[in-house]
Amino acid sequence: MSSRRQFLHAMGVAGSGVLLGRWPAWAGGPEARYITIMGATSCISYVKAVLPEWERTHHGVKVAVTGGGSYAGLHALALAQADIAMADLAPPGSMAVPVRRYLLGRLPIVLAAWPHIGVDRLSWGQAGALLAGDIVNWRQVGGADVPVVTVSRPESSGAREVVQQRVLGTRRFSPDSIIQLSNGAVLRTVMETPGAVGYLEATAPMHRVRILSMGSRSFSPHAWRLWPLYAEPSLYVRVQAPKEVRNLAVFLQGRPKRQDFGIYFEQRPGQADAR
Amino acid sequence: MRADRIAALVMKGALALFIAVWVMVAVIVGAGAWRFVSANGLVGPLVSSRWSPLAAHYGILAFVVGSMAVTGLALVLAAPGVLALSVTGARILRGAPQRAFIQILTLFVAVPSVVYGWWGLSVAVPLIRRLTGTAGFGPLSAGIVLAVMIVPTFSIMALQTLRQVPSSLVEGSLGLGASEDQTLWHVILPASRAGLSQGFLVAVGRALGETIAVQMVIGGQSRVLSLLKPGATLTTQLLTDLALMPARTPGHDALDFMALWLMILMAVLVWLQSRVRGMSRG
Repeated sequence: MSSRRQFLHAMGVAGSGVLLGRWPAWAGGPEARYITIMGATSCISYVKAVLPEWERTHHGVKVAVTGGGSYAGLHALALAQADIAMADLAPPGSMAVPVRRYLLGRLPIVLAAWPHIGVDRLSWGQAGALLAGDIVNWRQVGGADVPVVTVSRPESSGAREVVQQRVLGTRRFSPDSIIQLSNGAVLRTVMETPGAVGYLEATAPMHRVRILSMGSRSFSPHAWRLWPLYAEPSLYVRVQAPKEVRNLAVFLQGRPKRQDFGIYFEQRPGQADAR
Repeated sequence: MRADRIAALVMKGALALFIAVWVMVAVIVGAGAWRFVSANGLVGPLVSSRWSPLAAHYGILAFVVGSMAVTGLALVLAAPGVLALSVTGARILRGAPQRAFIQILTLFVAVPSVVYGWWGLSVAVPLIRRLTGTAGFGPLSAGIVLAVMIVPTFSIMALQTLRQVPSSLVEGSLGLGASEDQTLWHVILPASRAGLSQGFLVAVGRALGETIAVQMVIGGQSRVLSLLKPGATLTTQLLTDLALMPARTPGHDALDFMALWLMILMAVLVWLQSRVRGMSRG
């Protein structure tokens, strides 16, 4: 009887801890304050690189950074599961929570192809037709006789949304596209798969793939202002967020180091515009 | 005495925690699946392959078929290797080489699945690409990766089963003039049927539940069945769309529905295993 009571007691304690997501007060708990940053994977490397500098001046505040994509970050912000959302997209109209936006800059998105396709330049129409699967062989755009293989990202990707809006318009991505979960996986797939074409956030070294010019423009990190295809990675914070959270967002917006991670900017550091 | 009581309390606490976690998972997944079925019905999503969660299309047929196809393919591809390795380890090797062989197999069981996925990207996908002229991503590559993954697990279980066949049976068969091969096929394997079936079910479970290694090579498209074009399984689509549909969003219920199906399939496997165990005891 006693052992059954012990078992039920232990189960009650464990169950309440698990179901409530926290332990009872008498079990002790962390006193540190936590800030969660979630969203676009394109911003993670930059945020992680500069975060220690902020944490050094904010003792007792622990910051967790996690990816998941722009959609996930914005959803999590709306549901109060994250304090700061990193997103390449504007919050959807259905998002009822008032938020403040901290623009980080521009993140160029380039079309990258397998090196031996024999094409350097595409019109916007050709690029859209390729990604939609309407052009099935590089010969159709003046290249080598190689079948086209399209590589894309999941629907949670902000880069995908930018390409959908700016390049494809009303068309959909080819149903034969290979879906890869990260920028790096897209890069590797494009590099190794004959005839492959995909889109990349220009945050990583892009050697061993062919970066395609679009219309009359060629991508160069030095002339990023002229490149027409880009996302605008931003941090989103709830208007009612604690001061510490807003302070962190301002800090992250103000570090020039983000250019080292492919996020180019021309705004004055610290500038924020409310939505 | 006091130490015994503490140990008993710790054990019971661990059991209670395990049950609490399991119940929590079942409740969360079940509640989401229930909301999904209430809104979309039970049959519609199961017979449709149109998956576009942002547009509220939740057909999961392609993923169910994908899971079964990849698992079936892996088992077919793995079977000869499993048979060869288990017979070699159980009936041919003896002493130190046998122990070393088992240790090596155990080592392969412990390799993380992402490493198998990496192998798939580096070897299986280029191989399929070269042989078929396709991009190489698809259920065939996933089946090859899974086959390589389940061979060590299945082989060890099969090997242990083959070792337990009474030597009197083997010697009797050989004494009656049967060859080694005849003894293997007509005496040893039939006598090991129950254990081999259990190993088979464990392998099916591992293949059905595998996510990351499959995701790395399958291509990620909702397509009913083409071995050479990008496809998806229940687990890989769960991984892909978890980010798109976090908890408490409408599409998340669809993921709960998919997770429930996986749990049901696994429960059926466990039930079959217990039946097989019962058979072997009987």
